[in-house]
Amino acid sequence: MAKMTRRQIMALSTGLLASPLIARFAHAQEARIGFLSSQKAGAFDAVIAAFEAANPGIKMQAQNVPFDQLNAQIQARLGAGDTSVDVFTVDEPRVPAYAHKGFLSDLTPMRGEIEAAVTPAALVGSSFKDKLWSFPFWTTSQFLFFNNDLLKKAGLPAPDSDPAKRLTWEDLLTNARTAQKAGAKWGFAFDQNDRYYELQPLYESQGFGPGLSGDGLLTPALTSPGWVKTTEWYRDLYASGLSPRGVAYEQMPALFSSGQVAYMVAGVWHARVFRLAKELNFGIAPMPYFAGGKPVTPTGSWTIGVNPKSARQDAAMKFAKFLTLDGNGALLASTIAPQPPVNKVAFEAYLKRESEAGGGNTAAFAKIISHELANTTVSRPRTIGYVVFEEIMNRMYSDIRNGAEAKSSLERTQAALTAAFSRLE
Amino acid sequence: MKQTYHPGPLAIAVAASVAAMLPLIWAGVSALRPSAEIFQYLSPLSIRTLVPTQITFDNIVALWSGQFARAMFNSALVTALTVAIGLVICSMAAFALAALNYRGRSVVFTAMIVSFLIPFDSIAVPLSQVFRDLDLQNSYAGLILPGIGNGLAVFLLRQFFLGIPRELSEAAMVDGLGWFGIFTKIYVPLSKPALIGAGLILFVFQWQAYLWPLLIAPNPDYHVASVSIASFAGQYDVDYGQMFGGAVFTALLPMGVLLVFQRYFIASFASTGSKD
Amino acid sequence: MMTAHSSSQDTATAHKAAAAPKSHRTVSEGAVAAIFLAPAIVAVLVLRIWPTGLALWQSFHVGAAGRFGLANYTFLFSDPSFHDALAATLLFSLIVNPFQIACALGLALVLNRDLPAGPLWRTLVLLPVAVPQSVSAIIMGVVFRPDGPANALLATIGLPAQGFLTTPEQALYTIILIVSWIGVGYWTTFLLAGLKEIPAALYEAAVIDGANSWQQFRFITLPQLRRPLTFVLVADTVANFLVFAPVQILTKGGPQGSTNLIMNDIYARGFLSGDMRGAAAETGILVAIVVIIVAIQFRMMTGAKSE
Repeated sequence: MAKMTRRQIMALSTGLLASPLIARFAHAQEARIGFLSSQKAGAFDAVIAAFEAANPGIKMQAQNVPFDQLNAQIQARLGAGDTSVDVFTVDEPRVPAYAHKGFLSDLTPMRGEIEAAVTPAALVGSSFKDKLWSFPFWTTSQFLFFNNDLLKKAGLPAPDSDPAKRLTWEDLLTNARTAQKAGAKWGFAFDQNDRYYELQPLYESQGFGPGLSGDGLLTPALTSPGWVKTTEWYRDLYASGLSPRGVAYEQMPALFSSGQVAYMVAGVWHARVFRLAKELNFGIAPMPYFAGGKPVTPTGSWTIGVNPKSARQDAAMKFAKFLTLDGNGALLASTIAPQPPVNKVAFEAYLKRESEAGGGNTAAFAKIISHELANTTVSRPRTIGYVVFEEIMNRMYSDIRNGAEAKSSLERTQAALTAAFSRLE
Repeated sequence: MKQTYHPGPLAIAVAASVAAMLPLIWAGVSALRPSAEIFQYLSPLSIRTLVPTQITFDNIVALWSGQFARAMFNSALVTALTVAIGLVICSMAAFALAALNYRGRSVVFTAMIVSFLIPFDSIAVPLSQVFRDLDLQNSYAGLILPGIGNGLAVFLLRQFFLGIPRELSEAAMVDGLGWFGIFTKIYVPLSKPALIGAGLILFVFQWQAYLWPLLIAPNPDYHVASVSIASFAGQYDVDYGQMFGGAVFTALLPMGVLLVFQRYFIASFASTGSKD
Repeated sequence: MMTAHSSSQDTATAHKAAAAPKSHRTVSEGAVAAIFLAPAIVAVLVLRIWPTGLALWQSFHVGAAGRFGLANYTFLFSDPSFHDALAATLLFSLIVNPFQIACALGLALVLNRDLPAGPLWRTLVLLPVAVPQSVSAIIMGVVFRPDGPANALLATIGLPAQGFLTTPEQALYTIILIVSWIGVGYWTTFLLAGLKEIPAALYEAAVIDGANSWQQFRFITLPQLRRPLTFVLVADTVANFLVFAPVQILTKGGPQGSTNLIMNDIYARGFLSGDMRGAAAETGILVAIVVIIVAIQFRMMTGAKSE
C-alpha cells in the first residue's frame, strides 16, 4: 500500500519536473541479461559476441563499475532485490557472505560439470558449507620478481626458479639489505603492501593460522605470540627502511619497473607490465617461506555468480557456464585479463602464452605457477565475516606499515573485529 | 576597489594560480609520457619532473577512442540541463522565500537549509532503488533529477533577493505587473551575480557526482566523466596515463565555459545600476 | 547575500515592522508562493528529506526481525572508530574552516583588484574544483608521497623530509591542505562576487574622510560582505563536515584513526562493512550536529534578526 502512494508521489514529481527529459535512447525493450563486473569496459566484448552468436535470442548488457565500488554496488543493488543484474563477478572470499545473504544461486547440482572443467584447487573458492555457490573463473598466484642488474651490482646470485630450492625469508632479507647497501633504493617490497591477501601466507607458513578461529571462523585470533612476532617482522620491513612507506599499492609496480626495487613479491600478472619496461632486466622465482615452515602462497580471484532473483535464470546460467566451463568461452574471457583462468583448457593456453611472451626473463613461468597452484596455495578464510575482516585488517596493516606498534594494534584490531562481527546478521 | 598597479597583488594572484595549476600540469604532462615514466621523476625535483623525456600521444588517443568521449558528452549534457532547469526551479523558490510573505515561510526555508546539510551519499542507496522502481536507471532523467533541487543554491539566491527592496515590486504592481512579471522583469535581471553563483553550485554538484551516477547508471553508455575516469583504476593496475589525461580534459571543459562567464562578474557591477 | 541596495536592511526592517496587513494580497501571496515553490519543494522533499527520514527510520530498527530499538546508537557510542571520527572531525572543522575562509577572503581581495589578465587568474583558481574528486585526491596523494615532489621541494630549501600522510601527527593537516587546494578557489569566487557588489562610492567617501586601508576594510568591506560571508561560512562548514573522498582514497581513516572523518566512517560502515543501520544512525548523528552548528552560525552572523 505504502509503495503505491510512494509511486504516486514520485510519478507526480517526476512528471512535473522531468517530462521533457524522459527521452531515453530507445533500446529494444527485449530483456537483456545484465552482467556486472569491475573489469575495464570492453574486456568481455569478445566473449559476449561469441555467446550471442551461439545463442540467438539472448542479448547481453555489460555493466562496468570501478573495482573499489563493486562490493558497494552488489550490496546496494542485490540487497534491494534488483533484478537488472543477472550474472556478476564475485570475489572468492566474498562468496560465503553473499551466499548467506541470498545473493547467489545454489550450484551444487552442477558440481560434476564444474569439476570436470576446472582445475581442482579452484573449487574451494566457490564453496561454502559443502555447497557450491559460484562458477570458478580466475585465480591468482605470486612470484618473487628480482632485478638482475641490481643483484649483479651487489654480487648476489639470482634466486633459483626451482620451487624445491626456493629462498627462505631470512636469506631473502639478508640479500635485500646487501642489495640496498650496494645502491638499490629499496631492498625488498610487497606489491600489495598492506593487504591481508598478500600477508596471510606469512602466518600460515609458520602454522600460526589465518587470524580467525572458532565456529564459522568468526572468532578473531590475532594476539598469539606467533602472530605478534610475525607482525613485528612485517613492521620492521618498513621501520628499517628496507621497504617504502606511503606508496599506494597501485603505484608499487611502477617502483619495480623503474629499477628502484631489488626484490618484489607481486602477482604473476605483473609480468606483463614489467615486460613493457624496456630498461628493466628482471627474473622470476618462487615466493619465499619461513625457515622451518611450509611454503605457502596466496590465491583466489574472481568467480561468476548468478542472481537467484534473476528473471531469466536459464539464459543467465547459460552465459555463466559459457564464461567458465566452456573452453572457448573461458579463453575469450581471459585474453584481456592478466589473471590465470581456472578452466583447464584456457589455463593451458594461458601458460603457453605467458611462457612464450617472456623470453629469457620468464622461462620458468609455467613451472612455478603450476607447482604453486597445485601444492602451496592457502585460501582466504571461508566466513560470512570475511569482508568486514579484510577491511579492518587492511586498515591495521596500513597503520603498522606507517609505524604503529604491532602488539597494541593487534589487540585493538581484535576488539574491533569482535565488535564488528557482533553487527553481522 | 580600483587601485593603481601594485606588483604585490599580482604576485599573489599568480602564485595562487600556479599553486592551483601545478599538480594538474604534472598530471597533464603525465598523460603525455610513456606509462613506465610517470612516477619516475617525482624526486629530486628536476626539469624532468614536468618535462617528459619523450612525448607520446598513445594515452590521449586511447582515451578518446574509448568510452571517455561518450562519458564527456553525457556529463556535459546532464550538467548543462541540471544547471538550466535547476536555476529556474531554485530561483523561483528563492523568490518565494524572499519577496513574498505568508505563513510557513520560515518552515519552508528551514527545510531548504536542512536539505543541503544531508550527505547525499548516505541516502543515495535507498533513493536509487526508488528510481529503479520507476525505471529511471540508465537514463538522463535519473542522472539529472537529484541535482535540480539544490538547497544551497536556493539559499544563495534567497540571500541575494532579500536585498532587493520591496518598493520595486510594489511600484511594478501599481504599473499592473503580476508576481510572475516582477520575478522575470525585476528580480532576475538584477541578480546576475547570484544566478552565476547558483549556477556554479549546481554545476559543481553534478560535475563532481560520482556515487549516484554509479548506482543509477552502470551501463557504459550512460557513464559520466567521473565514473569513466575511475574505471581506469583496475583491480591491480591503474592506467594513470589515461586517468590523468581524462581528468585534465574533464577540468578544461568547464574552464572554457567559466572564462566566458568571468566577464559577467565585472559587467554585473555596471548592470545592477541604480544603487539607491 | 550580495546586496543590490545598500539600504536594503533598513527597508527590510521597516517592512517587517509594518507587519503587512493580512489583506487579500497577502493571502494570494501565499498562493503565488506555493506555485513558485512547488517544483523545488517537491524535489527537496522527495529527493532529500524523505529518503533521510527513511534512513533515520531504519536506524531505529534492530536485529533480523527489525524490532524498534536504540541498539544501533548504543553500539556507535561504544565504538572506538566512532570516537575517532568525532575527534578527528571536530579538530578538522576547527582548523579548516577559519583557514579556508581567511584564505578565500584574502584571495578575493587580491583578485578584486584591477589586475592584468584578471579574468584568467580568477578562472585558474577555480580549476581544482572542476577535476573529479577521485583523481584530484590521487594527484595530491602523489604530491605528498614521502618520496614525492612536496618533500623534494622541502629538500631544495634545506628542510627535512616530512611524513605527511604516513604519520598520525601530520596526516590530518595534510588532508586539510588537500581539501583546501581543491576548495579555496571555489569559495573565493563567491566572496569575489560579493566584493564586486560593494559600491565604489562608499570607498570614495571614506577616502575623502581620511580612512586608511584597514579602516576601509573594517568599516565598509566587512559589513557589506556580511551576507556573502554568512553564505560562505555556512556552506563551507557544511562541505567540510561532509568531506570523505580524499580520506577514503588516500588514508582510509588512518594512520591510527587520525583522519577518520565522520563521513568516511559512515561510508566504511555502510558500504564496506555492510552495516547499513549503523551507517544510518551515524548519519542521523552527523546531520544533528551540523544542524546545530549551522543554527549557531546563523545566529552569530545575523545577530538577533532571524533571517
